[in-house]
Formats: sequence, C-alpha cells, structure tokens
Amino acid sequence: MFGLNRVRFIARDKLSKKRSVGISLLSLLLAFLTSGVMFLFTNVDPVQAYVNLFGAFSNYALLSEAIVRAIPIMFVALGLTIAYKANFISIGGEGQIYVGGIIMTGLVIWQLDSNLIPQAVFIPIAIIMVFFGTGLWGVIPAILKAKVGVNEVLTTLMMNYVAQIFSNFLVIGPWKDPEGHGFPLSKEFPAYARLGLIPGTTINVGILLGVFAALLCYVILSKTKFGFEVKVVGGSYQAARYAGISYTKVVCLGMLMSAGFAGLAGMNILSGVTGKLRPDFSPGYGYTAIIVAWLCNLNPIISIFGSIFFGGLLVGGEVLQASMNISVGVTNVFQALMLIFTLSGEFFKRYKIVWRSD
Amino acid sequence: MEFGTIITTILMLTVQEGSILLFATLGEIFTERSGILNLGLEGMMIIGALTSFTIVYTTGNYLLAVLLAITASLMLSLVHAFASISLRVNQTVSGLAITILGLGLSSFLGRPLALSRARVEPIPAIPIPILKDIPIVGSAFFNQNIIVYLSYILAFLVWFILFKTNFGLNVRSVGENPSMADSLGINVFAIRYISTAVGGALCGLSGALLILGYYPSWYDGITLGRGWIAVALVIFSSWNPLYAIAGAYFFGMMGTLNSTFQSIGFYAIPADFFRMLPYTLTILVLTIFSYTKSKKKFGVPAALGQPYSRES
Repeated sequence: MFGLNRVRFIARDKLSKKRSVGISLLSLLLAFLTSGVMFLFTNVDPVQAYVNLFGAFSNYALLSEAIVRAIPIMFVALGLTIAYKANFISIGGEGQIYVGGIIMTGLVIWQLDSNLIPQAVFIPIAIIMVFFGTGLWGVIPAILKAKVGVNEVLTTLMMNYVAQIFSNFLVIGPWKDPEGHGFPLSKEFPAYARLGLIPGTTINVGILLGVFAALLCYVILSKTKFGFEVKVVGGSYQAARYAGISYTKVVCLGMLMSAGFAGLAGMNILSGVTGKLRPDFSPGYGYTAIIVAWLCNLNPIISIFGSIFFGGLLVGGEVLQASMNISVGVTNVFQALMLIFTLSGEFFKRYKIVWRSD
Repeated sequence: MEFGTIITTILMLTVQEGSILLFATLGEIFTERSGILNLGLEGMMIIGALTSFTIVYTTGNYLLAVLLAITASLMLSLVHAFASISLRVNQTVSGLAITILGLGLSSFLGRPLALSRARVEPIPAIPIPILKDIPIVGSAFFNQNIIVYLSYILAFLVWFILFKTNFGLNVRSVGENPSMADSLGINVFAIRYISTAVGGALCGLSGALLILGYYPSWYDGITLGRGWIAVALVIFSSWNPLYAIAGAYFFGMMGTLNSTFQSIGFYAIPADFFRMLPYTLTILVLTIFSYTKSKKKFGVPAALGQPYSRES
C-alpha cells in the first residue's frame, strides 16, 4: 500500500547533537506550517496571526504578563516531571490547581475569622499547608495505582472534574462574599495573604519561588537517592522490584510532591493575581503544563523557559482573540500540534529511513 | 407526576445519554482489542459533534452531518494511528495530544457558532409500532431517533465481529501477541490501522448523536468528559461489547440524574453533587473493578499500548 513496503527504518547507531536539534526544529516548523494551513482554510491571515501569537515576546508589558502566566504552568510542569519520570502518567494538574486554591481560600477565610496565624508568617505557613494538603489529594491516585492497579490517567482526570466543580460550588455557595453584591467571588484576600510584585513589573514574587522549585526538582531528581529510585521505577517496574525499591513508596512520595507543586500553582493564581477565589480560575494551565513537561524532555531547568514560552503563547492567544476575534482555543491547537510533531520527530532521531531500490 | 411516568422519563434520559457513551465505548473496545490505546476519545467526540452541528446548521441534511462527523473523527484517529503504529510514539501521550487538539480545534472553529447562539432542530424520533406500547420501557427504548436504534444493533454487531468472525480473531490476536500474529501472516499494521479507524468512526457517531439527538446548541467543551468516561467504560466492560451496554446505560443514568431530579421537582441535593457524580463514580467503580480483577486481568489485551516493530 502506498509503496510503503519499500520503506525501511534502520536504527541509528548514534545521533549527532546537530542532527537532533535539526529534527526538533523541523518538527516545530511543521507544527507551524500545519496551523498556518488551518488559518488559511478559515480565512485568517497566518502571518498576522503568528505576529499576534508571538507578540508577547516583542513587548515589555506583554512579556511581563507572559511570565505571570508562566508561574502556575511552571509549578505544575515541575510536578508532572517528577510523576512522569516515575512513569506515572498523571493528568491531574488542573484539578490540583483547584485543590490548592480551595485550601488557600479556606485558610484565608479561617484566618480572617480567627486571626490565629501571625500575619508575618502567613504566606510561609500557607505554602506548607497548600503543598501538603494538595499533596495528599495527589497521593489518592498513587495509592489506587500502587495497591489496586487502577489506571492513573483516568483517576487523575476524573479528579480534575471533581475538584473544579467543588471549587465552583464553594465560591457560588458557602464561600461567596456576603458583601459581594451577589457576585460569585470569595472575600478579598488581605494584604498579608497576597504575594508582592517585583518592583517595576506586574510579576509577583512567585516567579522566584518557581525558579527555586525548578532547581529543587533538578537536585531531587538527579542528585538524591529518591531521584534515582524514581528513575528506576520509571524505567521498569520489574527492575525496581529486583532492586528492592518499593513501588508504592516511590509513587506515593512522587505524587505528594507532584500534586504539592501543582497546589502551589493554584495558590499563586489567587495570592499573586486574582486576590480572591473565582469560578473556573484556571484557564487550563494544568493541561498546558502536560505539554510543557513533555516538550521540555522532563527536564526541570528547561521547563522554566518552556513555561515562559507557553505563557507567552497564552497571552498571544488572548491578543489574537481580542484583535482578530479568534478563539483562544487556537493556542491549544498549536500546543497539541507541537507535541504531536515533536513526539513523532523522536522516531526520526532513533531511526533513519531507507528507500529500497528493488 | 405519576410513578410510571417518572420511571419512563428516567429511562428515556438514560437511554439517550447511554447511547452517546455506548458508541464511543464500542469503538474504543475495538481499538484496544487490537492493542492500540487511544485516549483521544474526548477530542474526537467533540470534533464529531462540531462537524455534525455545522453541517446541519448550514445544510439541514442530517445524513450528511452524520457521515461527515464520522469522517472528521476518523481522520483524527488516523493521526493517532500514524503516530502510535508507524512512528511508535508513546500511545498515552499521543492520545492526550489528540484530545487537546480536538478540544482546541472545536473551540477555535466553533467560536462563531457559540457566539451566535445558533440552534438546530434535533433529529426526529421514530416510534417503533407495537414495541413502543410496552408499558414503561416501551417509549423509553422504542421512541428514540434512528442513531439510538443503530447503537442497539451495533453493540451486537461489534461483539459478533470481534468474537465470531475471522477478522475479529485477527484483531484480538494482534492485540494479544503481535509478533505471533505477524508470523502467522496477519498484517499487524493494517489490522491496527483499521481498528483505530473503527474507533474513530464510532466516536464521531457519538459526537453526532450528542448534538443531533439532545443538545442542539453549541458551547465550548460540550462533551464534558464523556470521552473519558467511555475510556473507563472499556475497562468496566472487560473489553466486551455486550457488557458495555450495561455499563453505558448505568453511567448514562448517573449522568442524567440532575435533570431527572429537576424534572420531578426534587431540589434537596445541590446540583453540583450530581454534576460530580459520574466522575466520582467512575473512580469508585474503576477501583472496585481493579480490585476484584487484580488477580486475573480479565480481558485486557496483553499487548495493549505497546508499539510493534519487527526488529525487536
């Protein structure tokens, strides 16, 4: 069929750095071209669309906005990196963002009533509570997978819906600000529960935490015994068992961290940007982060830049929606195409194509 | 409202919602039986839904709408097939990418429809004489549209093809042991391509039924995770099309409890609770199923999710 029987794939012995980068760039270029064709078919000027989509990187105010969006993406992507390294395919980032937001808002409301936590240490305490609280939420699918063998892709995804619906229920119902004129918003966070801004920008200090978290992740994954165990478990379940590594321990601890980081993303959105709980406060950062984690090759350091790039794309998508009346969904299309082409490109890094002449 | 009427209403909504789930589940069973895991159901379903909506809205032709919905979803499944079968990409990630792609595309292309609040006429129901007069269940099962009737037949057809035909045997052997199937002269790649395409086509039908049957307006993310519930249903049904019928109707009933209780004027439990129910229930049932079956993995195709190449 299609003369494909003449094609043969031969495994490459080794791949030069230059060729590897070349294939990656070619994959991205193809993603561009494909979405360009899509623009043409829908009567959108592709050049204009790309100028808008990448406009965030040419303009100081937009770049600053891109970094604001990159922070939650970064936290989730770092968490997912840990899970994916252990071959635990969590797609629960989006729900964990909501859980983090719920815990943070609960803490603020409780503090407003009781005033028990000294205001100076409120943020550090909140970080710990959100991290471990959301972490426990993340351990649920890990235990189910390790002890009962429940597919983690499905459990984590279903939990996303549960968390988002519950968060919206709270903000429309019991946690709605009684003095908020009926709007579905929680009470405004007091100043001590907000993250400060870096002077001269709209970027909150969460970016410093994010970069610190990335470095921490890097150290954990490549310099510690736990990081080694994660890699063994991710490589082969059997090998881990022979090496005497507990799958349950590694996966549960890994998911505690993974969800913990994603929870901080939720906290960051509320404390750093919105200042209160809102319905549907995450525009899909948890899903974008999946793509960031894979495209950055599960490397925490590269994920910093990947997150900023995708933060820029999200801002560009909104510019596109405002200026050309195109749905922000276009950024998702572009992201998905980049992922598909890059993954497919991996094949051509491992194999070369040979056309048989007979 | 009279008790019998309430039951009939519940059953009717259950069959409607269940049939949507059933098509996608049957398709994914076919795909997974050949060893390919396609997590792109949600994306393919919404593309099928958007296509059928657009076509009915512009031409008013239901048949064309269904056929093009099937085609569009099938084409998306072929992207997954090419990536996972030919290029041996990680099937989980490739499927996720298909879902994100489908959701994004539908949001991008469907925006004018969402903004215009366009509506279409649902496909008319065709009551089946005599059968529809059976008390209580009659009008629930036999006063539906033609796509729902097709789902009744299709469940048995898929079962028959998979378990009673040579082709089905080939599909299953490719899913169990591709290298042995290959050595017996079965074209592993062709079978996997066809099975993935069948899954895509049925998923498109799912999306078409969603729109043409019951939700005649368009909004972003209209599938609401139904594709994912179908993925879970494949596991509940132990990869068996006949069990899938029961599973789909059960989850169909859970998915419609909210509107059911509203229609009988029961508001004591918050609607959000019912909205969560299909998802929490999926986790619960998955756990129970995995627990009882953890000793003998019944029905799981042995080579599920593993790319095949002749060299290894």
